Amino acid sequence: MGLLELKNINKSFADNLVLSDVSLSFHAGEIHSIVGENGAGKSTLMKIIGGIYRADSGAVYLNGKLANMRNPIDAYRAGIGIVHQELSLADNMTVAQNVFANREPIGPIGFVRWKKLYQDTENEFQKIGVAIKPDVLVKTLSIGMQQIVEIVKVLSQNINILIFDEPTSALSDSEAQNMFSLLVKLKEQGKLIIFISHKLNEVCHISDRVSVLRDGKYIGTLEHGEIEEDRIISMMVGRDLSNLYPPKSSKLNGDIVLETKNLSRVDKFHDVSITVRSGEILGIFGLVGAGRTEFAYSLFGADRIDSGKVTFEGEDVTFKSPTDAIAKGVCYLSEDRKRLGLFVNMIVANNIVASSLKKFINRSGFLEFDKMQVVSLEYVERLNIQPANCISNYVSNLSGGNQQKVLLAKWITTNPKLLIVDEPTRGVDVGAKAKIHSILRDLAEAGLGIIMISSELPEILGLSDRVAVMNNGKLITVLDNNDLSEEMILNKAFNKHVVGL
Amino acid sequence: MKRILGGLLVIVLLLSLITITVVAEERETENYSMVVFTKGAEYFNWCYAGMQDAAKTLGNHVNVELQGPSDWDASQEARTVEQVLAKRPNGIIISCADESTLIPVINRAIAGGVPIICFDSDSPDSDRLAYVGTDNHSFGAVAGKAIIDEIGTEGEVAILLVPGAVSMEERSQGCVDYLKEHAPNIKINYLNDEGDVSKAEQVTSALLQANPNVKAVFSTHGYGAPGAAAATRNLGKTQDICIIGSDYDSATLELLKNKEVTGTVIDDPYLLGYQAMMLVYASAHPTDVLSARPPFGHVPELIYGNCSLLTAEILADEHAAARYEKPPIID
Amino acid sequence: MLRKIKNKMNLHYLVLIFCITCIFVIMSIQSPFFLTWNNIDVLVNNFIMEAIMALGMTMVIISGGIDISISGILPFIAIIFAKLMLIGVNPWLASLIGLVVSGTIGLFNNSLRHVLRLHPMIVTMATQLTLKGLNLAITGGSVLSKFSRSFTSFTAQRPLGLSIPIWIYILLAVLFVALSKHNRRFIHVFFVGGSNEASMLSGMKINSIFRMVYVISAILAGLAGILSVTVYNSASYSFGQGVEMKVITAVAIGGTSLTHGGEGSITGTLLGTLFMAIVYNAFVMSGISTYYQDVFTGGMLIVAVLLSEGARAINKRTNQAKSLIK
Repeated sequence: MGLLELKNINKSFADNLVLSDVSLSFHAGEIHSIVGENGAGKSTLMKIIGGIYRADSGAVYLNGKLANMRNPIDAYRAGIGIVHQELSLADNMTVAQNVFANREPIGPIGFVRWKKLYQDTENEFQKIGVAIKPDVLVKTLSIGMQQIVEIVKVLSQNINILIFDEPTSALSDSEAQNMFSLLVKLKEQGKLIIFISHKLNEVCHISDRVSVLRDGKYIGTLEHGEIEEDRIISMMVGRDLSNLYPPKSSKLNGDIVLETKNLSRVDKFHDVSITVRSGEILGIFGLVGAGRTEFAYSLFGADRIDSGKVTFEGEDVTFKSPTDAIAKGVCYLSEDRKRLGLFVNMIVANNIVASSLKKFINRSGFLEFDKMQVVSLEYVERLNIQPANCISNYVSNLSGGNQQKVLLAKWITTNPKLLIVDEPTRGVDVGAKAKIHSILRDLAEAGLGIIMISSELPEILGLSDRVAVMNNGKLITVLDNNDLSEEMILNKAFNKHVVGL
Repeated sequence: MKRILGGLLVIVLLLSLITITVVAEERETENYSMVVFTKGAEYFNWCYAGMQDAAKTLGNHVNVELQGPSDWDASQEARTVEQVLAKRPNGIIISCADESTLIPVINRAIAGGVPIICFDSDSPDSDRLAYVGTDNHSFGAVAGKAIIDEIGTEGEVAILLVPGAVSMEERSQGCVDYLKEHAPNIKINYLNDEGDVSKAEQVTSALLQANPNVKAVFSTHGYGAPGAAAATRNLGKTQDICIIGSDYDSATLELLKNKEVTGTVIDDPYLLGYQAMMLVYASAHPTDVLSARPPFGHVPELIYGNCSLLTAEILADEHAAARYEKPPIID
Repeated sequence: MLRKIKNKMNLHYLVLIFCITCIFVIMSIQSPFFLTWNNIDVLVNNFIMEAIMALGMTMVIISGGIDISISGILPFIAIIFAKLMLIGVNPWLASLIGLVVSGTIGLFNNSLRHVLRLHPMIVTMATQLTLKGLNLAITGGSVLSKFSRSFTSFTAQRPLGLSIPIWIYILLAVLFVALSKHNRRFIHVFFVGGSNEASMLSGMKINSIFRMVYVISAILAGLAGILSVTVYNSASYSFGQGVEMKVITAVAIGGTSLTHGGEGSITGTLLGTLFMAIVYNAFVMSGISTYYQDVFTGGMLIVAVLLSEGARAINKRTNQAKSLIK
C-alpha cells in the first residue's frame, strides 16, 4: 500500500484523450520519476494530483483514503505541493513574503508580525541547510536561488508529497547538483518526491523508481536496479533508438565562414576568438553565466561589440543590428523561443516566412500569399512539423518541439550561411530532439556553418564536430570532438586543471 | 549621487531659512486680479484687455493679472480665487462659473477686507460689492426683435441653450417674452446643445430636417451660431434660415461677413472689464463719501451695459469693423 | 539609525524632495506671500481632494490596474449627497449613503473587469462617461446649493486651525502608510501587481484583492465629492473635471510604476502630491501664465519616469554583473 495511489485515471480535453486508465502507486521516502515524450500526459497527471485539474473518472487515494481535491488549496491541505516549472514567485517581494505568501503571521488588526515572519523564514531555510537573508527582494537572487526559495515555500506548508515539474531546466549544472542533494535529503526525511524531467541522465542519476507514460497510457515502472537510459528511451518511444545522434561531419575542412579575433563586451565576455567552417557544427558549452548567449547576441548584432574583429566570409564586418546580420546570412535561433523567436499569436505559415518576406513581394509591392503557402507547406513536410495540416494553426497551439521546428524553418527560408542555435532542444521531447539533431546535421552537410550553444553535455558530445568551452566570459579552449568525455568538458567548464590533458 | 543630492539639499534648506527672515519690503504697488472660468476664451481676453487699459489710466502702480482654470469647473475656479487671495491682492474681479459654488470664497474675501466685483456672470447671493454685466433679459429681446424683422410674425423658432445655465435661460426668456408680445403666432423649440459647436450642429440639423416650419435659430451662447451655420450650410438652407448668435469671436465675425449668420447680439466685454476694474479700484480706496458697504469705498451695486445687434451691414464699414477685430489696448 | 533612514530613502524620494525644496526657495524669494501661514493653508486645501483620491489610486496602480472613473464618481456623489440634504436627510446619513453608493460603483467596476475580462482602463472609462451623463441628467445642468445654515456653519469649522478635509486627509494618510506597509491584505496588493500567477498559486483570492482596491478608490472619490460639497456649499456636475489625470500624475511622480505593477509606495505618492500642490500654487503665486503649468508638470512626469526606469536598469545591470562574477 503506497502513500499515494492513482486508480484508473481518465482525462480528456474536448475530444482529445490525454490520460487513459492510468494507475500508479507511490511510496513514502522515494524519488519517483515520471518520464514520457511531450504530450504523454505527465503534466496533466501531476495537475490532477495537485488539484489544478479534476479527473473525468478514476480516483486518487492518500494513505488508503479517497482524496477529493478540487483546487490547489485542498491539495496543500492534504500535504501535496507542486514546485512549478515556471517560477511562481513574485519577484518584487522579499524572500520571506514569498515563502509565507498568504500565510503571513498576523497580529490582531491584520498587521504582519515581521519579526516572527523573518524568524520563521530563517528556520525553514535552516531545515534544508541554506542560509539566506529573509528580507532581500527575490529579483536580486539568481535563478537557482529562486528555485530554492520556491522549494522552501512549498516545504514550509507541512508537505509530504513534493512534485517537481522540470525543476532543472533553468538551472546551471552546479545549481542542479545542489538541488539533487537537497532532494535526497528530503527523501531521507521520509517525503515522497515525484520528479518530472526531460533530462534522462538526471532521471537515472537520482531516481529510486521510474514510471513511463506514452500517449496518455501507463507503460511500466522500472525498479531501482533496472534504471538505464536506453531502456527508458525504448519504453518512451516504443522502439529502440540505437543511434541517438546523426553521424559526424563528412567534410571537416570547409572554407572558414566566420572568424572572431579577441571579441570583447564589457561585463559580458572577453577576448573570444573562434573560427567556424562551412559544413561543421561548433558546439559551445558553458555553465549558466559563462557568457555564451551574450557572445551570440553580439555576433548577431543584437548587442554592441566593444573591441575585437569579426571576419565573415573573408571580409571584416560589424553588424549594427540583427537586420544587418540577416542580410549578410547570419541567423540566430534564440533560447527563449516564445519571447524572442516566434510570434506565438500568429499562424505557422506567417511565422515561417516572417524573416524572408522580401522574397514574397510581387512587383506591385503586395505579398503573394499563394507562394507563401506553398513554401510554408514545403517546410512543414521537410521538417516533419506535426500536425501535418498545421500551417494555419496558431503557433501557440503546437508542442515545444514543433515550435522549435517552425523557428528553424523560419531561418532556413532566408538561406543563411551561418546558423547560431541557442539551446535548440530545451524542453523538447526525445523524438523531436532526434529530428532536430538530424535537421541540423543535414543543414551542415548542405554547406552551412553552425554554432550550437547547449547546456546538455550529451547533445554537445553527440552532435558537435568541435567543442568550445566558455567560463566566466572567457573562451577556455576549443577541442576536436574525438573521444571527448563529459568529465573532460565539465572540468574545463569549471576551469579546473585536469591531469593528463 | 545620494551624497551630492543630500549636500545640495542642506544648502538649499539653509538658503530658504535666510530668505524667510528677509522682511518683505513695503508695498507701494497695487495688485488686482481677474479670475475667470474657461481661461483662454476670446471673450475673456477682451474683458481682460478692458481691465488692463483701466489699470493703465489709473497709473503705473496698478498691476493686473488674469487667472483661472481652462475647464468650466466652478470648484477649480473657487480654488484659484483662494490662491489669488493668499497673495493679498488689493481687489479681485470675478466672472463666476456658477452662481453658488464661489459664494463661500467670495464671502471670506469680503470678510477679510478684499473687495470683490463680479462681472459678466454674477453670484447674486454672495457678499460681492457690485455686478457689472448685461441684462440678459433685454439681451434676449434684441434677438427677438431681430428675428421678427427677418421672418415676420409667422413660423417657428429654435433656441439653443444649456438647461440650468442661468444666463442662457434668462436670454432665452427675454427672447420668448418679446416674441410672445409682438408675434404670438410664432412657436418656440428649445434645443440642448451642451454649449458645444458640433453638438449645436447635430441638434440643429436634426430639427431643420424634421420640421420645415423652422425659420430662425437663436443661440444663447457664443458657440451655437457657428454650429447652426454649419448645419444650414450642409442642408443647403443658408439663405432660408435666419441665425442669430450671441457674443462675437473671430469665427462668428467671418460667418457674419459671409452672411451665413444673420446677426449676433453683443454686449461689450472690453467695457465690462474696464468698468469692473474701475469699480474694484474705487472700492479699494474709500473716500469721505458715505459708503453703503464700509469699510470699502462706495460703488453702485448694479451696472448694466448696453447690448445691440451686430450685422453684416455694420461690418461693411471698415472703420466700424476694426472695433471688433482686436481690443483697443493702450500700449 | 541614520544609516537605516538613508537606506530607506531611495534616489527617487531624494530628487523629489530636492525639487520641492527648490521650488519652495525660489518662490519664497520671488513672492513675500508664499511662505505665509495663509498661503500654506491655501496650498494644502487646494489640492486636498486630489491628495485623498491619490491614496486609493496608488493601490489601484500597484495592483496593476487603473481607475479613471473617479472624475465621474466625485461629482456624482456630490450631487447625490446634496440632493439628499435638500430633501431633508440628515447630513451624516447622507454622507453614509454617498459612501455606500460610491463603494457600490467600485464593486461594479471590479465586477465588469472580472466578468468581462476587460482592461480596467476601458471599464472605468465607461463608468466615468455614464456617471458624467447621469450628473447632467439629474441636475439638468443647474447647481445644487442653499443648504441649511446649521450644515454650512458646521462645515466651516476649523478645529485647531485646520479645515475638516485636511484632518480627514491626515488620518487617511497615516492609515494608508501603515496599512500599505504592514497589513496583510494591502501587502497582497503588491503581490498581485508583481505576479498574478504567483499570487494565485499561493492560494490568494485575486479577485477579492482587486475588489478591495477598486472599492477603496471609489469610496475615496465619493468622500472627495462629499467634502467638495462641504467646502463650496454647492454641488455641480462641473466638479472634478479632468481630476483623474492630476491624480494619476501625482501618483506617477511619486514613483509608482504605471508599467510594472507591484512597484510603488504611499510615501512616494504623498511626496508626489505635495509636489503637484506646490507647483499649482507657485504658478498662481508667481503670476506666470498658468498655461505653462501643464508643460512643467508634464516635464516633471518624464523626469520621474526616467528616474524610476533608470534605477531599474541600473539594478538589473549590477545584478547581471554579480551573477557573472559569481
